[in-house]
Amino acid sequence: MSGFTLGRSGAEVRFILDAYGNRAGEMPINVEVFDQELQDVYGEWRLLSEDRRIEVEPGVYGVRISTAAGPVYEKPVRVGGDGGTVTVPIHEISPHEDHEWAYFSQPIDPPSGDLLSDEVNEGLWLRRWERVIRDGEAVEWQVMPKALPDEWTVSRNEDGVTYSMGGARRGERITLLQVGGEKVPWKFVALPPTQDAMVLVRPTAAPHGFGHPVDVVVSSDDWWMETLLSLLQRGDLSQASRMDDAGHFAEQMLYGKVSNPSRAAVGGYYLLRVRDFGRLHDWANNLANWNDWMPDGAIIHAWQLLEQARSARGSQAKSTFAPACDRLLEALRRGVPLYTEGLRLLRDGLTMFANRKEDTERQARAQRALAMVNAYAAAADWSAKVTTFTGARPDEPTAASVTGIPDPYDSCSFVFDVPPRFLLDRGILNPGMRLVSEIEGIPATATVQDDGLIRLEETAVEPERGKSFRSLGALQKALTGKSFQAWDAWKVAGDNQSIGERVQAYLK
Amino acid sequence: MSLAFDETAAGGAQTHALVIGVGGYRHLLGGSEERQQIFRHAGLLKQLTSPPRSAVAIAEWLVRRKDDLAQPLGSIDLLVSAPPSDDEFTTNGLTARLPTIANIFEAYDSWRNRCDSEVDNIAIFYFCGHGLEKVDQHLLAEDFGATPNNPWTGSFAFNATRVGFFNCRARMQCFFSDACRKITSAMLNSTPTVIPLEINDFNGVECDHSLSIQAAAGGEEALGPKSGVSYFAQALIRAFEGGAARNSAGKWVVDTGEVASRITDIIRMVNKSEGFAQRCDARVTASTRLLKVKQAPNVPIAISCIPDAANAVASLSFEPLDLPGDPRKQEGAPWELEVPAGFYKAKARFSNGGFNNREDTVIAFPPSQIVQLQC
Repeated sequence: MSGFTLGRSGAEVRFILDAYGNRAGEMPINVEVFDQELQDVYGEWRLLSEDRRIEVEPGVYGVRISTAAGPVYEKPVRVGGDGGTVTVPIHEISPHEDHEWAYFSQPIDPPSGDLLSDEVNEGLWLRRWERVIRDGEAVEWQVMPKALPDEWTVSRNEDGVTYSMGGARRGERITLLQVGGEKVPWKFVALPPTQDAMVLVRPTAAPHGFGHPVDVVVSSDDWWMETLLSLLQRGDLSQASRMDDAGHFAEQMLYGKVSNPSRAAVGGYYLLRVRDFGRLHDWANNLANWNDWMPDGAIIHAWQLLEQARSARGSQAKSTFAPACDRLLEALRRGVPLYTEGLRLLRDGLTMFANRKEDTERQARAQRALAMVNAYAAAADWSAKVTTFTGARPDEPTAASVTGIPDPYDSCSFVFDVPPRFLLDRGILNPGMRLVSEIEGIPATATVQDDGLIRLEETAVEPERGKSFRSLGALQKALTGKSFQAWDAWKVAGDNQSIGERVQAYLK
Repeated sequence: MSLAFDETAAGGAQTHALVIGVGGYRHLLGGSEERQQIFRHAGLLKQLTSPPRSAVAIAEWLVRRKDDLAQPLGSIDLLVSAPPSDDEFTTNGLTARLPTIANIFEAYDSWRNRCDSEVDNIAIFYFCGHGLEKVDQHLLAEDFGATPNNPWTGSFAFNATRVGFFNCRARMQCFFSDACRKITSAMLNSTPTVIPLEINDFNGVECDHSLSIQAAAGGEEALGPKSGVSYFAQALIRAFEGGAARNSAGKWVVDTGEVASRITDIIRMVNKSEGFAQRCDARVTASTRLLKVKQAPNVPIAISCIPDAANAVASLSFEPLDLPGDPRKQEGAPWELEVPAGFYKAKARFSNGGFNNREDTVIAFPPSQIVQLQC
C-alpha cells in the first residue's frame, strides 16, 4: 500500500493509504499539512500510488487528504517521539471496488439506499446516439444499433451498474448515452471520446420528487483531467490552482489537442475560468480547426476572441467580434458541447451577440441559435460535468418528462432488470408458464400471469405463498432478501435454459 | 432616493450593494390588491415571510462588517416588502423602498452607476423572493401579476442580468439569487419573456473576478424558516463570518473561490434538520479576496457516540490539543458547540461501563466538523 511519511528520520509518522485496488493508485489525491494555526505548511496533488517524504520539524500538525470530491481524511498528528503509523481507510468512500473511480473522480453523494430493483427503476434502459458527419458536416443524430458494444464490460449490483468501455477509441464524433425507464424521465449524457471511459448508473441520492431519480456518472480514465474538471465544476479554483502549478498543467493539456482533444478542451476551459488568456496561445484556434466534430474548441476560441475584443480599441475590437460570433454559431452547428462549462459559455456568448445591434445579420443568426441553445439550457443538469439534458431525442431537449420504453426497442439495453411484461410482449415468457426456482435451499415454483405479474405458487416461505410480484427480482427478494441475478436462479419448468439465458440479449 | 447606507462621499474604491427581499406580493394570493391570475401557477404563489428578513439580515451584516470588506462599504440600497398579515417584520431602522419592478430597475441603474465609478469597486447583488426557471431564472418583483395577461413584465431574468452587468467596470462582481428554480407545467407550454435589468451589448466581457451563486440547483427549491432568515442567507453570512475562511500568511481571509466551493456544505449544515439537502449552484472566476476575518473563526462542532445507545450515558469533554485551556464538558450526546479553529481532543467517558471510553483528536476546520466517537 502506498502512502507518505511526515517528519524527519527518527521522528516521523508513516501514513498508509488503504484503497481497494490498482485503479485507485492512478487517482490524484491532495495531501495538505497545516500548523496549529491552520496555516499551510505543505500541499501537493499527486498520485495515490506515489510515495512521498514530507519533511517537517517535530510538533503537532493537521493532515488533510482530499480527492476531487473533497476531503476524505482530516486529523491532527503528532510528529516526533515514538513516531507511528496511521492507516487511512480511503476505500471507505465507495461502497464497492467497482464504483471507487466514481467517488474518487467527482463530488457525488453517498449511496441513497435506494436500489435499481426498486419499482420506480423498473424497466430502466439505455442506448447510444451519435452525431453523424457527412462530407465534413455534422448532419443528424442517429441511434446506434447496439447499446453496448462488444468491448464494453458490465458489472451489475443492486445499488449501481458500471459500464467500462475498454477497447478501440470511439472516433471523432459526439456520442450521447440516453437513459430512461417506465417511470424514469429520459435523459442524455455526453460520453468522452477517449479509449477507456466508465459509466455508473445508480439511483440518485435526491429525495423523490427532487431532481432526476437516476444518476449517470461518467468519467474517462484520464484522472488528472477529470480531477481538474471536477474542481472547476464545483468552483474550487484554489485547489485547482494547486494542481502542480495548474496553469502550466492546463496549458499542457491544451497543447495536446491532437492526441486528446477532449482533454485539451478541459485545459482550455480552466484557463478561461482563471482568466489566464496568455496561456491559450493560438492553441484554442487550432483545437477548433483540427477537431471539426467537437463544439468545445470553437466555444473556447470564441471566448478568447471576446477577451481580445474587450482589451482592444476601436476598429480592432470590432473586427474581433464577428469571428467570435461565427465561432459560437459554428459550435452549435457541430452539435452539443461535451462539457457543461461549454454549454454555459455557448449560452452566455450567444446572449450577448443576440443583443448586439451593430451587426444585425449576425444578431439575427445569434438570436435563432440562442433559441436552440436555450432549449438545451432549460433541460440541462447544470451540476453535471459532462453535458446532460432531458428529452426524447438529442435535437429535441425538453424539461418536460418523457418516460417509457422506446418502440422499437432493438437498440436498447436494460440496465438491471427486464420487466416481465416486456418479455410477455416478445413471447419470451407466456401467460400460464410455470417457473421453477434453482435457489439453493429455497425450492419454489411460480406462474406467469396474463398481466405480467409473477405469482408465487409453492414455497416453504409461508407468508409469501400466493402473492403476486411485479418481477422475478421482487419475488427473489421476498424469498432471499436479495434480488441480485434473479434471472439466473429460475428456469421455465421442463427447460434446461435459465431465464437469465433467455433475457441476456436484452441486457447486452 | 434614500439609501440604507451611504458613505459614497468618502470616495475611492468601495463596496456597493443592492439588496432585495420580496415577501409581499400585492397582486397574488393574500396580497393587498389580489388579482385573478391567468398564468396557471401565478395564482398559487403565496406571500412569503422569509425574504424581507433575509434581505435585512444581509444588509445588517454588511454594515456590521463594513470595514472588513476588501473595499470599505460605500452604499446599500435596500428594497423589501412583507405580506400584509406580517405585523412583526421590521427593517430595524434601515431605509427601504418597495421592490416593485419599476423601483428595481431604477435601483439597479443607480447601483450600477455607483459600481461603475471605480474599477476597483466591489459590486454585490442579492435577491430573495419567488423565482421560477425556464431557460433563465425569473425573479418576481412585488407587483408581479399586475398585468395578468403577461405577468412576466413584473419579473426580471437573473442570468441575463448577470451577463448584462459585465458591462460594468467594477472588477469584482458578486451576484446572489436566493429563490427557487422550479419549472411549472404551464411554463413547459410557453416561454416566459426574458427581461434582464441590463442588456450586454459588448461594452464589457466577463469581469476579472466574478462570483455568482444561486441558492438552489436547477429545478429545485430554495428554502427558509417561516418568519426567519432563509437558509441560503444564513449560509452566506456564515461563510463570510469564517465558514469559508482560510489562514493565509497568518491572516484569516475569505476568498470568493472558497465561498463558491464551500457554500453547499455550509447550507447543509444550516438546514440539516430539513429532509431535503439543498444544493447551491456556484460559479467563480479567478478567486480573489472578499474580506478579512479578525481572528480565527469559530467552527461548529457536532459530537456524538457510536453506537447510538451510548449517547445518553456519555460524559463528553472537548479541549485544545497541546495548548492551555480548560476542557468544556457536557453530559450526554449529541453535543453541539463552537470553538475557534484549531486542534482539539474529544473524549467520551462512561462511568458505569457498558461502553468503551474513547478519545480522538480533531481539526476544527471551517466550515464545520462532525465528530463520531466509536465507543
